[in-house]
Amino acid sequence: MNILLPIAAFWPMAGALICVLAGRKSDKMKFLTADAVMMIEFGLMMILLIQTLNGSSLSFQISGVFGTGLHLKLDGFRITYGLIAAFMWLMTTIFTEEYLHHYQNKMRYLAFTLATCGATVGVFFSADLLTTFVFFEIMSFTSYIMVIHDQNKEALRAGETYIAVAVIGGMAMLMGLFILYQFAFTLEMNQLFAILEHELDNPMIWIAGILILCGFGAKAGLYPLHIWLPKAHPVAPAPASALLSGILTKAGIFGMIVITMEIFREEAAWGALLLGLGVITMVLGAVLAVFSCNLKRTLACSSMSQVGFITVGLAMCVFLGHHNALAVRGTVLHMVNHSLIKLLLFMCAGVIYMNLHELDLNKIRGFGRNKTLLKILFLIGALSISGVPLFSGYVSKTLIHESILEYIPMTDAAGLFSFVETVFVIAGGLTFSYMTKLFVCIFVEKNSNSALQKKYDDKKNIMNAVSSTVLIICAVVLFLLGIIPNITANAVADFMQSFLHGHSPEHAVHYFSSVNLIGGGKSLLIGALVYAFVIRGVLMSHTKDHSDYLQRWPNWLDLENLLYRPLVQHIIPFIFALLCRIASELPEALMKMLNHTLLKKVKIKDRDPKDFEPASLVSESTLSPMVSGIESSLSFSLLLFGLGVVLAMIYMLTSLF
Amino acid sequence: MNYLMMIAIAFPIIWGACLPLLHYKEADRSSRNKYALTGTLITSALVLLNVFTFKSNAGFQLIQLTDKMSIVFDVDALSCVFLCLIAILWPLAVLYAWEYMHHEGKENKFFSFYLMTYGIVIGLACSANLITFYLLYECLTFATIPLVMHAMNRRAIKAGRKYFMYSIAGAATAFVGIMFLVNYGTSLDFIYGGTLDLVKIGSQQNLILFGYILTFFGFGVKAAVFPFHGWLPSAGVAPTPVTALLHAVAVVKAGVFAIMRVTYYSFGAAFLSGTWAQSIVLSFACFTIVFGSVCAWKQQHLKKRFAYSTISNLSYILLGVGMMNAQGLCAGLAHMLIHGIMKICLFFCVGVVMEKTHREYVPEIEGMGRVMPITFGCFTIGSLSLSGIPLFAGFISKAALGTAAVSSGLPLGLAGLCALLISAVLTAAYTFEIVIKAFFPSKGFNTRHLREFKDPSWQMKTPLIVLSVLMILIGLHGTELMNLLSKIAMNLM
Amino acid sequence: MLGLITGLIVFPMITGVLCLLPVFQDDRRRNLFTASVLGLNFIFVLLCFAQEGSFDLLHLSDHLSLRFMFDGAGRFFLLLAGLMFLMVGIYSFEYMTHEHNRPRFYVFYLLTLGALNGVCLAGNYMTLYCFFELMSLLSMPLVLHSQTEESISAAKKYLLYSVFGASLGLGGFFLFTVYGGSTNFVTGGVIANELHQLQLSSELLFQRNMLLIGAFLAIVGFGAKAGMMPLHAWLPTAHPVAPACASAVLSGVITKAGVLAIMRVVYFLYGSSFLCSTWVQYAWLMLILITVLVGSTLAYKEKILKKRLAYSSVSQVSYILFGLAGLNTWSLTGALLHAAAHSMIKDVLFMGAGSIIMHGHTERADKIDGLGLKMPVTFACITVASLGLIGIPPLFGYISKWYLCTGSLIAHHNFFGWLGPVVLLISALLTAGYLFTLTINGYLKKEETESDAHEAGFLMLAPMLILCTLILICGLFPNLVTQLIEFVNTLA
Repeated sequence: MNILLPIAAFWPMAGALICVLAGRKSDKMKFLTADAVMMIEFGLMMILLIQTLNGSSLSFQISGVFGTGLHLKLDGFRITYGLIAAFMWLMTTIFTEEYLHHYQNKMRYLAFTLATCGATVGVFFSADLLTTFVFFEIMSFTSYIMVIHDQNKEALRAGETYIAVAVIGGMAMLMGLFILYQFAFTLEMNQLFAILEHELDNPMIWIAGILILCGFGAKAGLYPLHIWLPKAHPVAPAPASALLSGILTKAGIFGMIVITMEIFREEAAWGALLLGLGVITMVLGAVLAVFSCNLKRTLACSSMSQVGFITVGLAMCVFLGHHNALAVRGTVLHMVNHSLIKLLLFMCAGVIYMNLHELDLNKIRGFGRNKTLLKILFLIGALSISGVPLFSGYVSKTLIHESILEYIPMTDAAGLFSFVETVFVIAGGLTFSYMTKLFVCIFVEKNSNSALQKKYDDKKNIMNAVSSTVLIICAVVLFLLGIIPNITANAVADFMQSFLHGHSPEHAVHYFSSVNLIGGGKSLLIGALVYAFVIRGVLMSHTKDHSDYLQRWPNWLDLENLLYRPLVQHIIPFIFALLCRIASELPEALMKMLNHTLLKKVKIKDRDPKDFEPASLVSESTLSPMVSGIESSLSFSLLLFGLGVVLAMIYMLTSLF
Repeated sequence: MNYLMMIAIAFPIIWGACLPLLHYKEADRSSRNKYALTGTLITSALVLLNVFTFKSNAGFQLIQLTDKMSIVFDVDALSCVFLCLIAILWPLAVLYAWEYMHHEGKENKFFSFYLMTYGIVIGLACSANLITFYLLYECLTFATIPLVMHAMNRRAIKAGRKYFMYSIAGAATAFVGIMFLVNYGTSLDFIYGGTLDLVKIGSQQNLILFGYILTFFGFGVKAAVFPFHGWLPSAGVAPTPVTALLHAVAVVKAGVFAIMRVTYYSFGAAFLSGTWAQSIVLSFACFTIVFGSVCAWKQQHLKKRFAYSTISNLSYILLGVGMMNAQGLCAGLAHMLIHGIMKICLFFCVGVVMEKTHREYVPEIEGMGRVMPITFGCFTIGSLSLSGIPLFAGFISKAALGTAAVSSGLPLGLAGLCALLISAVLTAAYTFEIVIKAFFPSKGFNTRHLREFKDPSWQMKTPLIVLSVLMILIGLHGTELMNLLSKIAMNLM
Repeated sequence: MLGLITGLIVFPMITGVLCLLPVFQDDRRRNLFTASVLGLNFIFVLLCFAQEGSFDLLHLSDHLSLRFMFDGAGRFFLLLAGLMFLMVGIYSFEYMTHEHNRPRFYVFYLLTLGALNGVCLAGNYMTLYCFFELMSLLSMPLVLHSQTEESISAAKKYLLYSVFGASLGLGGFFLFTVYGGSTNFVTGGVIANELHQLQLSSELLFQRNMLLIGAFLAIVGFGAKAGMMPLHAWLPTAHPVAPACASAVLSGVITKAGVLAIMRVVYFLYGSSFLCSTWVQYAWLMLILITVLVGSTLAYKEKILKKRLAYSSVSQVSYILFGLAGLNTWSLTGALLHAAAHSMIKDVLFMGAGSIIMHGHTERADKIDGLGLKMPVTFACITVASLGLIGIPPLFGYISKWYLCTGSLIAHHNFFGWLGPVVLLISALLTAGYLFTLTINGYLKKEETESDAHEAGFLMLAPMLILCTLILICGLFPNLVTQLIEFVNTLA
């Protein structure tokens, strides 16, 4: 029973309150308190890390709180992700001071960001699915405020989609949990597999699994429920988007891992489902990123695609079963890499947006030509995400690629998996292409209108010292993971793999062997080709003096407006409300009918009825006086009769000729 | 002591008859009223004396018509219930009539016939055999016709004629039924368990049952059963003391009392229970219950509304009686008593409203609750009791009726229960509509023109208050009453 | 024992009537008087936690008697009613300043409290029916307080539905007295105790069917007050016309009287084992699920604020009935937890709606854009309450949903088992739809026309804040409430 665990989860929430109280006086105080809170949190995480490293497995259980009790636990994966979460929140909080300088209601943003941090740490530390669900719901609602910070129309609309997906996902997950509870009578993660192992043929378990996958997948941004991701990021402040795509998607994936590893550990059917969703998400994300002309939207779609990569990795863990060492390490490492990469890239985007208040590629073109520091930082991020050797992305991508190759001889559906492998490589290529598109557009090309370019060139200090140090730290951490994989990456992988019941590989993986290098090279080649022909050729219009990026993706082809919004907002409510209106009006209609027939008030003869019209039992639906007036008058019926005769005459005359 | 009963019957008739002889003029109105009230009080005292000593005295034979038929008077348990009811209510009605009849005029005629009717009803209650009962039943009709036609305008006469036609037709049909009893019964006396001679009946059981149905519908006219209820609403033209006392208590209860006598004391409940006759009785009773309440809700005229409500409540009693078992009879008696009190109180309130404000329609009484608090207070207690809200008298009898209906186990018993519930809801509807309109006028309503209406004088108020207190007392403490009635129903008294 | 009965039932009624005295025409003095009466009533409620057992006060007729009983269920609902009446009472002092003839409101307010305490303490079917009818009659003037044409016809409709419901209950009473035996409440059910001989002979089959019909009549009848399907139409018409504090009490607490009545009948008269897996339970579950769906859909489509909250009450109270219909300890705990949660949450929502109407000068839910900035505390309370009602974990609504759904899944083996939770969750979704938009419109949208809306006074905010903290505390530590309803495991 280690008290530090709940403190780690609830301290940021308490910190949010302290920040609100302390920050009344001045903005400076707000940011100082927020930074202090995050420093303490990060320190706490380091202490927990050290404790877990020297072997003590910490856990905390209390029944009664939240009704169904709270059960937190620590192991390699959880503490690493707790640390990453604390690190990312620390970095973004420090960065926000400069970013939010000229924004209003800073206090609200800071308070809710800290609360979300607490909830996310709670999700990562949870040891039973109910605690996960509790923190998950809190995280959904607090992060909603982060998304709609600007409060303009698009922000609210994106927020609406975000909260709708979050709530629907949450409810679906709750239903799944109910069904699971009905079978297992407990939701402790470690006991689930033992209890449900021999009941997996019961379809209810599969329904529960799929429902819970919906809940977690919605947050991770899996294919059918990804609609909020490309919409939310452009409107959210940059640090918020960094957290959203860096950590909150990982919380979703954490849930997916739990479900996959604790219930459907070796179920090939579940692996196929994950694989299908993963591949679609990967490809769709990459294609959307390639077509997008908005800096943050591209990064958002790239997050979606990377989530696809991770899901494919997870699917391979299921397929490979006992010897899934490679897939497990690949998935875990790719998650860590993706978090750090997106932290760096979104902060760079934040710096750009801070100065220009623009995200459209044509407008911010050529901004970074002479900004060497920003250029290097962005380059590190871009290279590692594209999987260029010597950078962290390459390490995890090769591991997953290796696991697919390893599985092909073992399975009889070799054709399918080789197709998956080729798609995997193409997607890697696409990643490289859209990252080069971004890099070339911002840091290499000249802006089409030269005056703007001149203004960009002589704009010297684009970020203050604090923000630059923050960015540098992130870049260094990322670089370390990539440059010496055998030491750093392997250590991290060994530490985290136990969560996915992974076994350490029989023989050491040498990343820079010829086979892996060729795989990485192949995807880079495809990326270059795609950039040269597709992006340069199709997606740009070249006139004689300048060329600009075109928005080729038809905006009607948007899953949300095409299918979800009309369905959820118009079609279902209309049908449903009609049925419910009929059902609820039934007893009412009976009363009205009785009131007009059997129980009709006898008219009072010798008094003129006008002065006391009886207030009938059921308030009559008041027909507009004009209509009732017309119905009763004789002249009106004569008028209609005349009209009928005239029409008949016309008809006869026309039919004659 | 048997001549005590004769005095009780003869005294009011003589007292009433010689009232016109004293030529009370318009001026000495109060002395005439006191005269009438003293007469009623003395009679009530006599009646109550009779009731408490009914055990000791034997019957009193007035005339011996033929070997089988004779005019005999004797007080037994059932008649005590009816006597108590009229003994309590008649003086209250006369007291109420003091001020009410002031603006109606022709008070001498009114009070004399009023007192004579009192004597006849006492005789009716104490009659020991069917012939005496039939004689007094007819006298009752003749005595009440001038009261109905009191106003002597066109509508009153039309209503009086209608009432006369209905009653005489009913009495004639009942007479045919009685002849079956003369032929097949051992004697015409009222003996608990019936006087039919089963040997003589042998195979003609259906004929006897047909005779019973004729008697039921004959006496049913006065008990306002569905097809023959027409006269009661139109009798509403009579002054309120008449409609309140006669058409809510005395005359209609005489009809129900007749059916009780015939069913339990002539034909015998054992003979009738389970037969098709019982099903006819029950189905007509159930239909009238719902029909009466529906028409009451439809009616806007205050008196007509409560007339229809009486029709419905009478069929409550007939439902109890139709159960053909002691529990049913006990429930019927309870409702007879309690309904008498409730309905007379409601009619008195309506009478006050009509007399003070000359308004007869429901929408017209908007906002009067604040101006005439006591009247409408008593009216609210009456309506609460009528719709069977617990802690008020109405609930006691309704509960007894409901339990009797269900425990009879007959499908028609359940139908009776449904009719009871539906009618209770409709009763609540048409009474509370008035209460809400009186106490909670709509927003824009100016009570300026209501300012001159105020509560009536003490003569009219005391009956209201006495009856309301009675209702609450019975409501809160009905155990002794119910035990007494169930003993009477089992013929143990 | 007798002292407490008079304290709880007769005392509020007498003080209610006293409000009419001229001495109390002045607002301040009357408010103090009412506040002290409500406070005293709350103390009486706490006192009766030490009492146990039952006794006959009055014999109305041979087998009808006024019987009072102190047991767990009664105490729980007494506490709920006492707390809510106190809170809404304090709120109403300021809210009623803009309404006319206030003394009359407080007269019927306190009379209804007396009748409600009577319902909670009723010891047998007759007393329950008696106070049930009295409560309908006494709460009717609260509905027609504004005396507009519409409110009077709404009050009439309310009265008629309640009286019709109560008369159905009376039908059940007759059937039970004849076929079931004594109507005194016994934990575990009168019938269930002698269940075995009922199943044997066929002649008793007729008796069993009669009892089942009686049970169904009572459930549908008392369900009218709880806004269940066939007789729910009065709720959406009565609430918008009543003053906000009246509708807060009406939907927060008086619907719970309907729930308590059904609970008494099902668990204390018939017994859960008698009604388990009979056609009564399935028909009842079907009615409940329809009501839940209809209630939340119509609430989702409704534009007028109070009407929307009324429809939401219709659906939320049917959640509680869903727990009752589960006929097992899990569902019953869920039902009672949800009863407590719904009372608190619905009262805060109606008080919030009242302050929006009074200070925000708007009755429609789609016209409250930007009011949140001008009335921050009111909207904060509304947000906390709506999150609770949707069932977001740290707040009180979540735990009751958990018990309800797991109870239904574990108990039922037929398709109701999983259909119930699915319907509850769809309805929770719709609840999020119609409640969360209030917060979003309030806080995040800009105000088009510059209105002079301002924050409500302290008297209005204090009860809302107290209840919101209660929602939070009970949400975090629900075992406080579960200890209160310990009696549950003896019932099912």
